[in-house]
Amino acid sequence: MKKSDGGLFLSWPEAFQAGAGTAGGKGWNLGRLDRYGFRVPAGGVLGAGAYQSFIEENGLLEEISGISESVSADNIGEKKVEETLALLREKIMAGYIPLNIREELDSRLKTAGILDKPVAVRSSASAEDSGGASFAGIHDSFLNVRGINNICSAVKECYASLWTPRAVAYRRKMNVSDEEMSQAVVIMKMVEARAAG
Amino acid sequence: MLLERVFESLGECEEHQDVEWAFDGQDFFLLQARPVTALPVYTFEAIKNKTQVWSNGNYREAIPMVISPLHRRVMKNAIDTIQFASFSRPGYPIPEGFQFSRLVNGRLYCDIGALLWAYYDSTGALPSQFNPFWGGHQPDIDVGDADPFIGEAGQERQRRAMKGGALIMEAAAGATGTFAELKASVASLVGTGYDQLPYNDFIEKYDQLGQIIKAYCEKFTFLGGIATLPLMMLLQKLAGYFETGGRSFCLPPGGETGGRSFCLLPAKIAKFGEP
Repeated sequence: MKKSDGGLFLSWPEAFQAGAGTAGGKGWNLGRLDRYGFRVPAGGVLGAGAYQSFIEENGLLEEISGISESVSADNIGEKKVEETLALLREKIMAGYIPLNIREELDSRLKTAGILDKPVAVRSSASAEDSGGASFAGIHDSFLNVRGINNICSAVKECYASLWTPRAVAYRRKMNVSDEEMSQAVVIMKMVEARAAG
Repeated sequence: MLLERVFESLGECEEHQDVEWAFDGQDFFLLQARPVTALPVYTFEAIKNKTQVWSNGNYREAIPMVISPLHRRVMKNAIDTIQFASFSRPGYPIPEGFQFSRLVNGRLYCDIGALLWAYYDSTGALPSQFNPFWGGHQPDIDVGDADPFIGEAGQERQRRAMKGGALIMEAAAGATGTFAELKASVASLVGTGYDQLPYNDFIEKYDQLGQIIKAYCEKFTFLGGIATLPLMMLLQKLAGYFETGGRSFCLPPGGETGGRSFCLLPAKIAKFGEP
């Protein structure tokens, strides 16, 4: 198994440098906040490269390009299309996170001091939170996730949430192609909030 | 306060930010920030369904450098005041919330479609006349080919154009006083020991400077106009000698304000200097 080259998980400063293409919209904006001196919770971003290699290693590339070709704004509501998408999501959930990614997650979250703490696992798609389209509420987020197994499973949930009828329909509506979309995942410590907004 | 800082640093004072935060009893943490995408567009009623055209023509020469939000804030008192005053003083209403310019990646752009419309609708200036004067390579907007000075709206335009002329005369007559006033105001701020000032006092001085600039620029709008008419006549004369196809001449920044020597180049030659 090839050892990770370390570029898969990004600390906040690395996410700032990497840009929205790699860290996703949410991850990059958090990197910018950190860079400009705001306080953000301990954590970082599992980059879009990890999603790509997850899809490749689980042999899902072909299925995805098939969906990109066949699903349009017109047929998105059809039962058959919904079933195709549901099947892809199931396959993503049943897929395995490549070992090098899992190892890097394990070591980097340990370094950040949050491996055994409750964390938030949040979708950070590459075209998300940009000036043109917010994708607000389109992709999934998971709160109070604890332990590497649960984190990996939440990461897969985030990957799968790219392929809900709602997410695909939003992309078709906003003219964002499937190829432009890649899913980074923000993982950060839960703040024990006394107030929030 | 925290949210305002996010608006300034991530939104460059232009894009409002949707911010998620949490307070754990000691510190505020930011959990997410993203630009708000569903804001209304503020513009003139007549062009609200037209595509907006943003241009850095003119600004690019007048403000060639990248500017920070702090710098932008003090400059708003100059540029925005000039633009607003040229319409509001002759009595042409500007829609609420409308902004002529905005920063994009640190550079200033003008909503040129709206500016062209405002000049046309307020005083009957045709986009084809105004564009070469303003500079830049933006397209003219379509205002139809009806005479802008007929009908009730046309009379209003004539009246405003005349009011503009009167304001220019007034500015010319008061020029000496205006300059003296400006000198005195600036002198009252010049001093030493600024590095010793507490933050709030410093900010107050900064705002005072903004007010001085603003007060002067309201007058400058029409002071500058003193040179506009002769300049346009000069440009027309020169266009006869140089074949520029009626397109723009290159003018050094500040040229139209008078008091400096002009350096006019036909656009074809000036192009060599462009990146």
